[in-house]
Amino acid sequence: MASKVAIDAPGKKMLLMGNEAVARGAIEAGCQFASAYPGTPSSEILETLSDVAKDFGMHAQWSTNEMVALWAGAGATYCGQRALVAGKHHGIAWMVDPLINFAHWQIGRGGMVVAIGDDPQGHSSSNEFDSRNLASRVFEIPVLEPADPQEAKDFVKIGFELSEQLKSPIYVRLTTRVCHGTGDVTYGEIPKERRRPDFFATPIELGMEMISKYGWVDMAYLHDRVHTVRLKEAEEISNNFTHNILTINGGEELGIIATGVTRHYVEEAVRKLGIKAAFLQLGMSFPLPTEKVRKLLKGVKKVVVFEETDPVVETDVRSFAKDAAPGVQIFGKISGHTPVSGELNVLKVMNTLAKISGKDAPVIPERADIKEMISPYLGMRRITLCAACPHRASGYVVKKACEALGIDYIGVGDIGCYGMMGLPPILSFQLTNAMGGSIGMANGIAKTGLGDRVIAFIGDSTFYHAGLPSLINASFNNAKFTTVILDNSVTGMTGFQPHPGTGQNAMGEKVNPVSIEALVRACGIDEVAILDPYNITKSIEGTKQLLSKDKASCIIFRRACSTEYLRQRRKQGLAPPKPFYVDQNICNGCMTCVNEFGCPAIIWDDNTQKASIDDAQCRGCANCTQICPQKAIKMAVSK
Amino acid sequence: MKETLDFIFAGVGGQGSVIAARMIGDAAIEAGYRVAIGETHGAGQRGGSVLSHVRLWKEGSYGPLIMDASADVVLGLEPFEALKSAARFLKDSGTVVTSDHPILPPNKNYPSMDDIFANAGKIAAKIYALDATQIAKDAGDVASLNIVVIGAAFGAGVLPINEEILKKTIAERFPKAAGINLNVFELGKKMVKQRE
Repeated sequence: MASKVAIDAPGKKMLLMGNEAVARGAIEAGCQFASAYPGTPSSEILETLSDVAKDFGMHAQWSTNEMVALWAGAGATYCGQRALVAGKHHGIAWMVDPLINFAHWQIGRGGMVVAIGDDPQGHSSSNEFDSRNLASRVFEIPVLEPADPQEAKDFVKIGFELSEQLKSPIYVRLTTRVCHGTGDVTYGEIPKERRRPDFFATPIELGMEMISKYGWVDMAYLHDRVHTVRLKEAEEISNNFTHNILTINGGEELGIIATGVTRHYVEEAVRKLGIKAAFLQLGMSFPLPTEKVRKLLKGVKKVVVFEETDPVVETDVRSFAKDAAPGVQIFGKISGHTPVSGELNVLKVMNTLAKISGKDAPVIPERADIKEMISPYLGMRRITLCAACPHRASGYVVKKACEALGIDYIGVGDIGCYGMMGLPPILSFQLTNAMGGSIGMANGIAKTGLGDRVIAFIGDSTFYHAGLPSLINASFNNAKFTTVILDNSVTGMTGFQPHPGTGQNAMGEKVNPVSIEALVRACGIDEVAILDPYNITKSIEGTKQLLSKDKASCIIFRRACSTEYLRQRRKQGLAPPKPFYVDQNICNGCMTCVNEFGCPAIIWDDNTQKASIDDAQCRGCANCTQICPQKAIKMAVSK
Repeated sequence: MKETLDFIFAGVGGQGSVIAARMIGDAAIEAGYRVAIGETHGAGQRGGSVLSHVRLWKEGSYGPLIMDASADVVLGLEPFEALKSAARFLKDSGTVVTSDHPILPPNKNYPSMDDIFANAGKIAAKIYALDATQIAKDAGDVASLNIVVIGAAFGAGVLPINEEILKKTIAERFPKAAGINLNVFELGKKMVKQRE
């Protein structure tokens, strides 16, 4: 199916995921540059654009990390073109320094929209944090908060217009329920003209006449300009913003303020409870539309604020109300009336509103007997590495090699599917933190002298993203540890995006792959082994050889992601590899395959006390044939 | 007054519940509804529980999550997953339409089908079931089991969308597999049976 975001049909209604809608918004805005690093829940933004970029005179790229994505986008804006920079909330942390600068020094003539997917509840993240804190308090740039796919599209387009008007990056704060929510979106027009690039970055262009006058720039002046000029103008825009909607019918004692998707939860909760409330919906939450807030505060006795994740708007409303309407009671996270963590939903909003307005809370049937019947089975579909995943084999290899050498190592993991190597039964590491944390923390752990060895486990894409500077640091500071690079030739966790090692980019161009082993050697690591984890015996030997040396070293386990491998085979019309089976006459029930390897295709039967293989799940990697002490696992003969 | 029609699509990763939810969404837009679908994506991993919330309405605007105990219908691609989501999301006296073909966990520790349906029956006023996996396999493509369940939902009378629109959406989604998919839609529609 041709990409539906490319359809040029103004007025047409299409079903789009929020991320696809962001992409469509960029197309409708005539955006010519888009960059991102993959990260759930934001990955489909750039993925969608990469499929259609050429048709719209746009360059789309997977950047090596979010900081690079932002710098590249800034380059495009200084050449007069519009740039969309996307990522998840962890990604914004990598953009902090450049974004503060662009907020102060101004962007070029092309607008810049930074679209960030926050993950309240941390469904697909190692934490939940509210990136609006950075946008509003640190970057001090306007924040738009779409509630659904339609607004996601519209706000990106509006964001570009505001960006050029205010000469500031505009922050579009998405959340998982917006990014991965799907809904009807009415299309607008797609501009036909493209902007010819031209370099605009003179002091006058950037509003820094003082350079010509005095030959220097006052950094405080740049910051002052943000407050006295841009945020003043932005507040005016916020007051007139058509998606900052104040509804007062008169006589309401309760006022509600809500942002993003929580606006829909509030509408539904108010209807279900049958309460009367004045309602201020914020599509633009920073700067606060103070005039609209003042009007709301004037008419009511209580105001409750709904937002995910931190009390950003609530704090602003409280500080504004202290002078504007000191008698009005403000409720929210700070007062303890809404949850301080996690996602909101209709039920949570109803509970809060019921409590504040003295109504009965909704009664949800207990169904205790049914839940009791279900509960023993709840853990049955545990998250695990896929069948045939090379990471499982790599973890097993390292474990066996260390056992053979009598090494008790300290393991540090990183961010990717291989985080699951830290779970039983592989248990490769005890600690996983954020992007780059493996090699990063190994630098410190190695210097304490603790443990026989320190081993850092990092994926290929993560190595390019955040591992490289830490590995350079290790050589520079003589930190002796072993880096294990799990090279499955794709960014697996986020949906199989290409990376600098794959030889193909988001535009589909063939490019020179950036060699991991060459990088590792260039960082000053001499002991490097490249092993195929599917050859378990040989890999254990290779790992032992490397670990027996008392030197900084690196093992690259190279084998394609098994899910991506199957996807590629399917695309080529090839059948999946033949499954294996357990010879029930040979299996003695030792459970090595279950307890030490834990492939989801291996099934343990309590009745027969033997293992078997689910041929629907088996992907024919043959790893288990190498670990079975009885040699009971065999390739199936064609049926 | 109930303002929305709320469906939960429950299955196991790889069964196609997300695509099935989108197909219903596509058809619903064609039929004049507004649509919100919520789902969670995680690691690119098969075998975990997958839930899609599908909400259809005509006036107003709604978020993508269905409140506890308020879904009108649970559509199951897998019976235990159907029960699990019914326990949390189905309203009292709602409807369950589900495949009764289980996907067993590695340790084969799985409740009996009688237990599953008896408990679902404590919540649902009506339960419709069929072996969607077998029907899809027999028709030549086990991957079409999600469309068997869409056919079953239509056959059970819980989808407020005209048959022609549903068939058009199904045919257009995967043009190469249109023949099999339309066939299994018919089979699902005809073979679904209400359980006593």
